[in-house]
Amino acid sequence: MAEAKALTVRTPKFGEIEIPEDKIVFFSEGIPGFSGIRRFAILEFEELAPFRYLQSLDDPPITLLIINPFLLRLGYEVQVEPGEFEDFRANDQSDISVYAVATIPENVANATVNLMAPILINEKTRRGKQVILLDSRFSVQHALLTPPGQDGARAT
Amino acid sequence: MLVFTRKKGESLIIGNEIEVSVLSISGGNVKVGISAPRQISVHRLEVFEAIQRENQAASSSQFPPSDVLKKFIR
Repeated sequence: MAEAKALTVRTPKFGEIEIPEDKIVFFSEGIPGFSGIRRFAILEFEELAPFRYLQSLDDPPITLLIINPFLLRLGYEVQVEPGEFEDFRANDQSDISVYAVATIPENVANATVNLMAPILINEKTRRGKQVILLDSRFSVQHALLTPPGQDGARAT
Repeated sequence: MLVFTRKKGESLIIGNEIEVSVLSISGGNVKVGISAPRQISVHRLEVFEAIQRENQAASSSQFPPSDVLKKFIR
């Protein structure tokens, strides 16, 4: 019997986590802003849904809060240049997960989501890449929350 | 940094596969053409830097507060 291999990582945010080897996502080009780190895992916590975390396994303090951008209902679309993401091409699109990186500063009202550079993960090959879209409608700092006054039903 | 002087229509080659051409020069603008293998991403530096900064800011984000989470549960 082959042993199920797992990687144990001690993280500042989530304590010790165990990542089965087949859950590791490899970013061969890394992620802009963090040099030299390639291995990540998606962490899911029921109480944080629909957000998830993209946790670096090579540099544990690095975690990115991510969300499925289609949940934001902004008419978002991801048009990737052919060849931009090798694993994206010629594959069933249903194998591809799309995430946008969210930034929640101390003043939560200023929370933003990066729609210009979504993170794509091919669930079959376990490879990921942060791609840069050429569509100028989507900015790196899109407001995550509706400003007060635009959403009358919002409770505070 | 390696520095070259090129005229309009002249090119540089980086490695065996990346070609950078000066297409036109007008006023303070230089139009540059790049042919590179498809897996090489080419972007304006300021766009790439904005994404680097945003990723770093995201990494020091706080946990999403529960009222934020509630907004996305439908």
